[in-house]
Parts: sequence; C-alpha cells; structure tokens
Amino acid sequence: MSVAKHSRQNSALATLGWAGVASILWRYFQEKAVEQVKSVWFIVAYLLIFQVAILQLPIVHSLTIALGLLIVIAGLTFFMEGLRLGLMPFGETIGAILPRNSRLPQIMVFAFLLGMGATFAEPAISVLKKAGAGVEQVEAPLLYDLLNVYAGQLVTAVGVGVGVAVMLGVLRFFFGWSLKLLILPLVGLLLALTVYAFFDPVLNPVIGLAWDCGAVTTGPVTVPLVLALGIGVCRIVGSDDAGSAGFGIVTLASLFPVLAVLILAMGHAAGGGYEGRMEVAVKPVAEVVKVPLENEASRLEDAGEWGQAPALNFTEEEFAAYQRSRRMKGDTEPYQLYFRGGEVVLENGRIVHRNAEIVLEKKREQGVIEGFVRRQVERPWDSGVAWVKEAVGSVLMALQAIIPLCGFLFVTLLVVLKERLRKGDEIALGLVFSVVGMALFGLGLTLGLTPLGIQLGSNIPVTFATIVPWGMSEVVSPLFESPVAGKWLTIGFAFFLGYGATLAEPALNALGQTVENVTVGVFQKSLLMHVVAFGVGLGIAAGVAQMAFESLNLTMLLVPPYVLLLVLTVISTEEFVNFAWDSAGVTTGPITVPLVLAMGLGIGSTIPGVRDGFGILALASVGPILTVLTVGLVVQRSRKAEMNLTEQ
Amino acid sequence: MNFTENQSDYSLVTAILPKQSAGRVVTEVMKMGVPQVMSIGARGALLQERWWQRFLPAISPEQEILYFLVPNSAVDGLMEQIVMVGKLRLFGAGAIFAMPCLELCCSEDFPLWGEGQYRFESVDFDIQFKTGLVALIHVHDRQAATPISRAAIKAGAQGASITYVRGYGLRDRLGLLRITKSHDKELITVVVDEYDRDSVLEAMTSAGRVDQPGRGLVFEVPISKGLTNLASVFQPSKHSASIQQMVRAIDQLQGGTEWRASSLCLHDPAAIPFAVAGHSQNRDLRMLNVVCQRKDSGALTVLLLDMGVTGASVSHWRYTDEDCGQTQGGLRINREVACISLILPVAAVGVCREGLQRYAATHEIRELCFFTHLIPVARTFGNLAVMPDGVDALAEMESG
Repeated sequence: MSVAKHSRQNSALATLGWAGVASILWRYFQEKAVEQVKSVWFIVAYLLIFQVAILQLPIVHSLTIALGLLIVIAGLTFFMEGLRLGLMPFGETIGAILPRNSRLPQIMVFAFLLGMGATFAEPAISVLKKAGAGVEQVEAPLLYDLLNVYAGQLVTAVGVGVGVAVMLGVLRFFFGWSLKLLILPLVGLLLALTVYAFFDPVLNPVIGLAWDCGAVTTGPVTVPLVLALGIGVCRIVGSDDAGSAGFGIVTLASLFPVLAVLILAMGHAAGGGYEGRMEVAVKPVAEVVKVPLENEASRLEDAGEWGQAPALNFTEEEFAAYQRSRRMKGDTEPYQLYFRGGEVVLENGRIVHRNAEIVLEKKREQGVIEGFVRRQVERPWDSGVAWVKEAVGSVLMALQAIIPLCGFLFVTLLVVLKERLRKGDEIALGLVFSVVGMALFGLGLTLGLTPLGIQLGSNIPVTFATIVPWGMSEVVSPLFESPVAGKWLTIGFAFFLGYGATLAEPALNALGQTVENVTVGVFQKSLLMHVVAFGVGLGIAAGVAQMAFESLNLTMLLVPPYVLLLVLTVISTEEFVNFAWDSAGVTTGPITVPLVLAMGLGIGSTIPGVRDGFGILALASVGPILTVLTVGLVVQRSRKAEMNLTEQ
Repeated sequence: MNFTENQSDYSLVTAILPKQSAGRVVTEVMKMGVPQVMSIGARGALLQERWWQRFLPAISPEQEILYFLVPNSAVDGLMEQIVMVGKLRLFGAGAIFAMPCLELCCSEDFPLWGEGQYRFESVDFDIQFKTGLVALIHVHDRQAATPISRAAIKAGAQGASITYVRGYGLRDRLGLLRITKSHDKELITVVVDEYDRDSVLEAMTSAGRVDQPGRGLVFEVPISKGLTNLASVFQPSKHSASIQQMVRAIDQLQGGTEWRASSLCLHDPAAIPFAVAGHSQNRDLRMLNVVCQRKDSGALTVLLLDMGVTGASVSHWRYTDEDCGQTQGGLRINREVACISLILPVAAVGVCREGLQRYAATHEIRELCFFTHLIPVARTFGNLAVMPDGVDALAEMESG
C-alpha cells in the first residue's frame, strides 16, 4: 500500500510539473496571507491615519516600518498555518490518547511538566528577566531582588504556578468540576492578597510584576497547544452536554502564576531575606555618583540637550531639604541622575567629563514590562545595526519557544504513551512553519508594528499637552484649545487601539477558531473576536481615562468591575464562563501589550502623579470577560424565550 | 476476521435534536435497553434577514444529531420512544427519520444491534410517521453553509442542520502539497417532502455552485419514514415570529396542540418506502458508509483513496454504550468512531467491500461496519460513476 501511495505522490509531481506545483503553492500562500491582512489591516490603517491625519505628524522611519509590517503579515501567515497543521493537531492527538493509555497520576505529572516547560519556553519570560535591569534597587528593593538575585526562583515560581494550573485544568476534565467553582475562590484570594500587598510598602511594587507574570505566561505558543490538549482530552472524557469542554486551562494558567509570585514575594518579605533591604539606607549623592560610574554606567549617561520634561518636579521644600542634608529620601522618592554637556578628555588614563552639569531628576516609578518598553521608546531607531541582531534574536526566540516543548510532547508520545504519530510529515511541516512564522513575526513586530505603535502612543498626548513628538526634536503645542476635548479624543483613540490590536492577536485567532470548531460553528470566530476586542477597547479606554483625568482612582476603577465580574460569573452558564475567562487570558499578547504600554507611558509622562500603565493592562483583561459574559446572558435569555415558545 | 453476511433489513435512524434535550434523550433511550448511541454536534441554520443583523451577536441554535443502526423491526419502537422523550411533536423540537440500508455487513466484533434483541413498550398514543420524505445532503467547503441553507429554506425545506466533516480526495493524492487545501468541510442536511425535492435540490445546486470544480457535491438519500419539526430561524425576525405566533394562535383556537401531530404527520400505508423518481444523472449510485474506530479511519480512508474512489468525507462520532469506562470522577470515557462516507457506482461497492475486508483481516481491525444507501440523485462537478481501479491497489496491497 505504501508503494502505491508513494508512486501516486510522484506521479502528482510529474503530472503537475514544477510550474504547476508553484502555482498551487502561490495560490495557497496568497489566500492565507490575505486572511492575515484581514486581521491586521485595521490596526495598521488606524495607526497610520491617526498619526498623519489627526495628529498631523509625519511617520518617522516609515520605510523600516512598512517593511516590518510586511514581515509581520508573512510571519502571521506561516505561524497560523503552523498552528493549523502542526501544533494544534499534535496537542489534540496527545490529549485524546492520554485518557485511554495512561492512569491519572501519570497524566497529572505530564500536565505539570507541560505547564512548567511551556513557561520556560515562553519568550515573554525572558522579557521579564531583561526588564530586571531597569528596576531601581533603592526604589523597590524586593522587586529588584526578585528580578535579579532571585530571578531563578521567580521563573520557577511562575513555572510551578502554570504547572499546577495545567494539572488542575486537566484534573477538572476528569472530574467534571465547574470552572466557576475554581475561579471564584481563586480570584477572591488574589484580590485579597493584592489589597494586602497594596498597603504594604515593601510588597506594593511587586503587585504589578505578579499580575504581569500572569499575563505573559499565556503566549501565542502555549495557548493553542494547551487548548488543543484540552479539546483532545474532552473528546474522550465527559458527558454529552459539555459543549464548552476543553477550555479553562488558559484561565487557570493566567491566575495561578499571580498567586505563586505573590506568595514568593510574601515569603521573602516575611523572612526579611531580601538583600536589597540594606541598600534602602540613605546614601549621599557623592556615593551614588561613584557607584553608577562603575557599575551602572548605562544609567548615568549624557542626556545631551534637555530631553523630555521631567515627569515630576521637585518642590521648593524638597529642594530645601536636599540643600540641608545633601541626601535623597531614596526609598520613597525615586530619582535619577545624569549629566549634560561639558567636554570629554583623557586624563591620566581616565575619561573625564569636564564642566558637565549633574542633574537630579525626579523619576516615575516603572512597572516591569513598562521599563523594557520605555527603553525601547527612548532608544532612537537605528535601522542600520538592528537588522542582523534582531533577526538572529527572533529566530532564537522562536526556536526556544517551540522546539523544546514539542520535543517533550514527542518523547511523551513515543515513550510514555507508546503511540505512533499519524501524518508525521504534515505535523513536522507545521512545526517548521510555526518556527519560521514566529521568527518572522517577532522580527516584524520589532521593526514595524511596535515602533509604529510606540510612536503614536507617545505622540497621542499632543492632543492636550505640549510635547516633543517621538523621534523629532521640535516641540509641538497642543492640538486642542481645551484639554478636556483632547483627553476625550485620547480616550477614543485608546478604545480603537485596543480594539484593533486585539483583532490581530494570533492567540485570540487560535482561540476563536477552536471555539468555532468545538461548537460546530454555533459561536463564530468573528463574533467572539469582535466581542473580546470590544471589551479590550473598553478596558483600555477606561484605563486611559483614569490616567487622563487624575480625579479617577485606579482602585475605584478596578474594584467595581471585578465585583461585577464575579456576579456575572456566578449567574452565567458554564459554557460562557469558559469562553469569557479564556479570552481574557489570551488578549494580553505580543501585539497588544507593547502598544498599550507605550501609550500608557506616553500619556503618563505628560501628567504628573501618574505611576505606570499597570492599571490599563488589568482593565484590558477585565473588559473582555465582562463583554463576553454579557453577550452570553443575552443569548441565554433569547434561548430561554425560544424554549418557552416551544414548550407551550 | 469474519464478517457477517450482507443484510438488507437495517436502517440508519437519525434524530436531530436541540442540544438541551439531546442529553435527556440519550439517557432515557439507554435506560430502555438501547445498546449504543452514536452522536455528533451540529448547528441549526441561522438566517439573518436584515443587513444590520450582521452586527448583532449571531448565535445559531445548537443541535446534536444521534445515529442508531437498527434492524427494521426495531425502527418503529425506537422512533416512537425518541419522539416521546424528545417531545418531537412540538414545534421546533427536532426531526427524526430512518434511512434504509440496502446492504449491511460488519465484523463479528462490531457491536451491531441484533434482530429482535430489544423490545420497546408501546407508547400510549398513536404516532404516525410521514412517508415520502427525502434527505438532501450537501458537502462543501466551510463558510458556504449560510447561503446554501438560506436557499434551501426559501425553496421549501423546513430547516437545515450543519455538521463539520473532514474531506478527502484529490488533495490527498498530492503528497505534502495536500496542505494547500483544507480538510475542513461542512455537511448540510435538509429533510424535505418529495414534492419539494426538485425545487430544493435546484436551489441548493445553484447556491452551492456545485457545477464548478472544487465546490463539493449534493445528493439525495431516500427516507422510509420520519417526522420533522425543525425550527429554522432562531434569530428574532418578522418571519419566524409570525410563524410561531400563528402556530400558537391555532393552538388557542383548537384548544390544544393535538392538531399539530395530525396536520404534520401524514399517514399513507400505501406509499412505497422509497419510491425513486426517474433521474437520469448518475443513476446507479450508492452511498457507502464505513463505520470504524477513529484511530483506524485515517488508514482506511487512505486505502479507499488508493483504490481509486473520487473522494470521501469523514465524520467523527461520539460513541456511547453501556460498558464504556469511567474516570475517577465518574465521567464517561467515550469511544470515538468515524464514519467514512463516499458516493460511488453500484458496481464498485463490491470491490471496496472486498478491499476493506482484506485490509481489516491483515491489519487486525476488529470493529468495522459498512452499509450502503441508494442514491437516486447526486450532483457534482465531474463524473461520480468512475470505477475505482481497485484491483491494482488490492494486488499491490497483498504483495506488499
């Protein structure tokens, strides 16, 4: 039989010829690329038009950005095909074999290891590690230590969190537990711990990190894989009425890491074992200057001409206090130090800056990812150097994200489950597509979409404030006379930014496709995506409103939605609770996060008293849950009406 | 591996139920001694008549389709019980129909429902099933279901049920190039009266553009008896509201719902179970259904394609029976079966059957069952009456 198959394949190539094959492939890639253009065009067109037509600013580095956007589309094309051909069938096959071929303890161990592995492979985790360099030891000693001294522990904690989540998620399928019953206590506990940490000065800076960790673990590789695995398991296990079966792991995987990180932080805080604590002691300026020159040279740099206006100004009283003591209250008042001007000479083998001014500037506190993005914002775009380095970096990242995980699954399949893989060639090709796609996607993001979004994000305050636009040198005055109108425009902008970016998220595309497949098209992918995007847009707009109008308090903006969320979760059907919470875990992906944070930073830097963009991300996760659950309730109502009509 | 003789006294009973009542029906009929149920998720047709409805959350009705392969003597009893439990006489409650199998043959290990093995208590009211129904089935690429089912409903069909299947055929002869064409297909089933058949078939043919290459196929399967009460339009719209309001108004006038049964179920004992009108095109066709375990379906599909059949679509059914395992949490561990369906000339059935039997014997496929339906009409691009060059493939298989 295999002989027959082989000869048929050969004859296909022989009859079609290379030209025929090429034309089939061309049509195929064309079709798939058009699909991706459809998901990306909105956000791209929106950003371009907003920048040019409304803000009336030119696009800096437009060529690089255009090329980057093309690469993004190519990358998404390959990646989504890779998911369809390779990753998802692979995960589903294993999921369907597991319940038959192995016993529960074995499955638990497998699920735990898979969750851990997925975490270590997730590219965003390395972003966290990199961002560690941007945290000030003096400002947030515990946060600094978690990211630098205990970085290993932190990643392990997140890994254990995801591992436990996947384990619990799979266990749920076997016992038929309701997702609601898992979510409600978990979210309650998390909120309680967050509120507790909020009032603890040592723990406070860690809150952002903890919730960010939850968001980054559910990336574009993990989500489809874990979804497919769940679908596979639920094909075999379960009763007839479980239409939502297979979902929920993503939700747990974005909640448990938060818990894990908070517990780790509390452990260290209670034990007092964090080294940063000694450094909290107040240091004279001279000392501070000496230390950075040796160790943290990157921080003490030539700022050239005046950069952006400092986010915060020292008050007269603070200046008086400084004059008296020559000391900063380092633990409560973050500041940074740099020099401007002067000349550089070589003196006795030392490089000396003569006649430079040393400037002390109050500094805004930074979240973890924000720190990373901020450095991207501040870095002038250097199209010359970046190419090779960025390309190699994104290839490595793609390999790291996909290969070890699939290796683990493959070994499990062969050694533990002792099954052969059907259609191995197709899955292998799919994996190659995934790696290629992910590498291109990462490169395209860095070259195209992220700079574009960051540009616009930092320029958007021009509607109500005087700023220096990104990548330019002259000051531009506000677009509107009334700052209120400008702020409303900003809020509207934020809504559509969130909406468009969410539609382009690959993980959400995969989730939507899965929901459509599982429900045989009852819940169309486009419906789910638009509802989720609408929710993200609302959440981001609310977050920006909170930043723009200082009178709004973040806690006040976060608590009522969460309470409403819990109420809606209680009264909704299991099916929609699964869809809603899983979509929330998925939304914070590689396209949305940089764009939203850039915008948050841009707005934050023009408004005194604003800390960071953390609130925006948290609200961006709440929004889609609210909208999906609301749609679910509407559907439920109309169904009930239909049933009543039928019964009568 | 022994196979039973060809039997001609079996029917495939298909019940299309809303999701809400499907679970209850399965539990109830299994309590009555039905040995196994095969099921697949489906969705009802959703018609959006106004352009602005595209912007509203559009959620089609969820359905579950149950399949029972039963001896003809048990068909009436089973159908009556399902009508009772599923309240199928109510408007919009679903549909049930039996499609006679011309020949059925299965391996000894296949859990076939034996003749006279199960008896149903008679129900306390008289259910009269309608004859003169036909099922029209359309297989095509994803996303085309809405226009096709809209056309079918406008031409007189009551409602359409859509399931997902995987399509095989030309693409699988292209080696790795097969990835360029998606597996994902949709299968629309509509049940219509014989006198509506021509208009609905025409409507589906033109809406699905099956006269063009790569647009799937549409075919007709005879039904011996059935009952349809499908609600087609769930979306609030003028049309559906008026129908349902009319039904309720007549309920009030008649003082009950009994009139629905009498007006919707025509009893005609003289009707031949499946009278075939003379259709010229592709006359001597059969639909061959091969039911096997899901894990064997890939290899069997490849075998059939290698034997030269033009194409096949595979549905994955959930298989529920009394002795399926349980998890520690008390949930069922279901088995999965696959149904490979293909349309082929009557002369090719024997070749395929022989090939499948030999393959099952050499590869220890324990559970395998195949049965055929008469296909009076089938329309697609190209010729379905191509004889598979199965003999060569069989020879190669045996030498390899």
